[in-house]
Amino acid sequence: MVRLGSVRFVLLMLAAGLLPACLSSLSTTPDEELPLKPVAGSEQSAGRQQASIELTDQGRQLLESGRWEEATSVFQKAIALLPSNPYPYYYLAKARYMQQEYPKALPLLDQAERFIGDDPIWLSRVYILRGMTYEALSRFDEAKNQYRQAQVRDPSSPAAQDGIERIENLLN
Amino acid sequence: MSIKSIRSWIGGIIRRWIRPKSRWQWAGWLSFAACLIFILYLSVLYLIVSARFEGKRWRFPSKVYSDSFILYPGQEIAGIHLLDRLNRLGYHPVYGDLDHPGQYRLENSRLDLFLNEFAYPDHAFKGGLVRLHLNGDRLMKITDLNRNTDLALAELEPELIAAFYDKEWEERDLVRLNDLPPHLVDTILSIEDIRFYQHFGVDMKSIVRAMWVNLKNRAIVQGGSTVTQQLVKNFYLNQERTLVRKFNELFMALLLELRYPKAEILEAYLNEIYWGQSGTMGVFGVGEASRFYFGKRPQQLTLGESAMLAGMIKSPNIFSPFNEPERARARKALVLRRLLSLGKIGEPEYQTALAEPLPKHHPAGQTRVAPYFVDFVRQQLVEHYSPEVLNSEGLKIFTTLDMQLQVAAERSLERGLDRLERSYPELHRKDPIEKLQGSLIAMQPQTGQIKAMVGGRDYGTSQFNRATQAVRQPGSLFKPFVYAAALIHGVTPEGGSYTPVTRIDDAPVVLLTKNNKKVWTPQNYDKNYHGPVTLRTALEQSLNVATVRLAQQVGTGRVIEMARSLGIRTPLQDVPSIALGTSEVIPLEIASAYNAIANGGMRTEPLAIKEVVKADGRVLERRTLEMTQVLTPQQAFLLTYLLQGVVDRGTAARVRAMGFIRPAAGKTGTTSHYNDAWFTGFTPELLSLVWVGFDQTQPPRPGSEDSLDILEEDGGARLTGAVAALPIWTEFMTAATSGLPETQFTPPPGIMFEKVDLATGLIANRHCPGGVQEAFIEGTQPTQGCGGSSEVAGGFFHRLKHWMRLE
Repeated sequence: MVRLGSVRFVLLMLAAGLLPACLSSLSTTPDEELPLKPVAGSEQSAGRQQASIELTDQGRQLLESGRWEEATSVFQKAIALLPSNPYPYYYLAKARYMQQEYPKALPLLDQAERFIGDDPIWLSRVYILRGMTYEALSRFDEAKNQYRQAQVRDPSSPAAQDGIERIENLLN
Repeated sequence: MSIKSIRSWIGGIIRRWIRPKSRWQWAGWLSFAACLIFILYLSVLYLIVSARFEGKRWRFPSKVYSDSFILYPGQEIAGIHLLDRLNRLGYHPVYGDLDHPGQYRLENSRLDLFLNEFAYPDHAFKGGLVRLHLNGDRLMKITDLNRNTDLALAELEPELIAAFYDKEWEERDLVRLNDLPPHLVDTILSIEDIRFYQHFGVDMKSIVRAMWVNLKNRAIVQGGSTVTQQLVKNFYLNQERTLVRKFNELFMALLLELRYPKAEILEAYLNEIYWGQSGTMGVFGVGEASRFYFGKRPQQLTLGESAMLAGMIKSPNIFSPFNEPERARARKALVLRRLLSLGKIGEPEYQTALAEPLPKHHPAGQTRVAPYFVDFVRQQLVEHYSPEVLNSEGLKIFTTLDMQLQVAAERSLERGLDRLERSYPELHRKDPIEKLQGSLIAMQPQTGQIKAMVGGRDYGTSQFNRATQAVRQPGSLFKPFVYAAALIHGVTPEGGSYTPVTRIDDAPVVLLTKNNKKVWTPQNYDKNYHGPVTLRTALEQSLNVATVRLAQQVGTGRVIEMARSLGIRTPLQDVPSIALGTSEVIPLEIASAYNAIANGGMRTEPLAIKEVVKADGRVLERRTLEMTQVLTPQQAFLLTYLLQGVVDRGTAARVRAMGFIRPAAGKTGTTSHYNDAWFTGFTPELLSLVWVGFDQTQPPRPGSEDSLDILEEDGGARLTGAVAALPIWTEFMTAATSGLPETQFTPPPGIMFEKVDLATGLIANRHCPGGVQEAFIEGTQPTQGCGGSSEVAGGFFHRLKHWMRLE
């Protein structure tokens, strides 16, 4: 019991140490540069997509300036307007992650994945954020698996490679 | 000093000083007593004056708002009922230039809109002019006319749907004196109390003048009350015309002026004064009056508007521009003439202000809107906020309600119930309490947001919310949980997994009740048994016997577990008949459970309140989207696809017959004694549930399920889901989705389609031509074709054959 407890303690400490690294990698991921493009064929109304994407972008700016609560409201508005828009789910999950509400981030990422379709770059982003969330929850094997999937989708993703290396260092 | 000597000393004083010996002493003592009483009286008045002025001066009702509405290019103006929305928000059409918030001008190919300012939970919107470019009925482009830029969207502010009042029913919007334009304050003082800054609460000159005028006219035609006295009268006293009240008013005014600065008294007066009536609610204070009469903040009032408001104070309803425009105009002219004579304004300002038109639009009086939803919201709020806080702190409660959907829901339910009573007179009850009832809930699957809620036929007659408080048997509405349990957890007697084409025997089944005391033999509505049928056929045709058999194979425990995971909270009885929905549930729970299926297996909690905001704009509470994955997207899609079959071919085919052609999935439900008729169904973006029945359960009648035929056969007024609830659902969903683009149920990765024979569940081929496209989780699709041929579904040749045949 003592040994198991100690191992858990060490893992928790390591996870706590990794958290700032994860957060910094999240803040440096160039979300801002990614276009929030309409998902082809998902909706007939280009106007509705554009409006929902505009709201998502407003929320993203609020999120970047640390106004998480306000950003959350705007993302929810974007979802209510166009429920199949994957981006506000992704950013809502990111807001949850930044507020350290990790379990709440996971289903939001599942929703984002469901609506993203087959866009490899955005799928990769979802996997990376999910990997980081698992990491924060000390679910390292699942985290590594997510980083691997991210790498498959986007082989040039440094965040995926960093994540894999981080987990391998931790587990070895 | 002994006690004796003290006594004699006191006695001496009394004899010498207090016992009067002459009239003068009597008079002195009486005067002294009168002074004491007067001081006491003043002290009491002072306490009264300061207690209320120091404390919370006003009670502000908390206000409940609907969701805001987003306008974007591509919408159909008629479909989204834009003009109805604008009218409800108090916008009014004009024919000239738009110079006030709350105005709009509709021309051939454009709609100009002066948006009201609004304090949203996260930002304050300042209002502004937008142009909606139209092509016919379609919104093509939105332009911000102030910045001359195109917008992706424009937001219409939320609609006020209710306010939580105590007994006073007052509307008030607090303003600060420093925020008011000087001309407004000047105008009010000029007409109400020109010597406000010179007197000490009571103006003897005004009193003498008023007395002289009244004597001349032999009637009370002029009052001499100062602003301070008026404030005292409104704030502390009643409207009685007695000498005692006047006396109290006089001294309280003096005390108020002694104790508080003029500015504070004037500010209180401007926030306190009565300015007319909005329906059943009084309009109090210059902030609310400005909003009510002109749709703007007091800071934006022009001189002419200020003069109109100032003139109304004397008698707000007699000088109301809505009720008495001529009198209002004359009174406004009088105020302006007074300003001119006092030298406060010059001739050009006078002429300009005089020429300003009076407001024409009469805002609708406050009526009850979405009362059951408001009750539901209040019920949730009282868990965190006391009634005292809700009635007095001026909270703003932002909800998820879509007012247009709410209007459609109320209309569909009312019309549907009327129609039923007309078609089946035996359903008609004279006593309003016993009348046929109904409820409707509409939710957005992805967010759990409640978009509309009707809890009964007439709130005035019964406030019992049948959407959230009733506990009723769901009947066949429960069946999809049995099929979900089978598809997810079930193992067939042969050891395989259940798929939509797994066959189950619809043959007589005999079961013992829980205590093994009774034998139960479920029957189908047509009293027939259909032999081996696929799960799809059993669900589409709502076959009772096959469903009960399936539940037995899967285990009723698993079925209950599934219902629980989807969101049913009411205790469920573990009995064989649970498969047919005999265990009572709350309609909102059922809607929520179907919501999880519609949302790709993600359960969201029903959400009615989005934010609670304090009067100062601070967000007290923000309820956020929370989800739990209870089915995989593939499992949820299989169920959705099965329920689509119910609408396209099964017991709910009437949806299509009524002209609703969008992709939809749903299920009918009827309880065994026809006490409850249900229909719940969803498109990819909206789910709604309808219940119809009587509050008091009706005497048992023989018969069973989900059939139009029963009604016809028996010739009786039997409430079935398809007859009673489905038409209401269809009417509502037609209205609710009008103007929105059609969306499809998108299969998630891992789902494949195979054309199968409906009767056998085998791959359709030349031996069984026709068939339907069936969805399977990859790897579970059938491999056998009709006639015994082996078809390697998904193989190259199979795909080639499909390609050649289908494409």
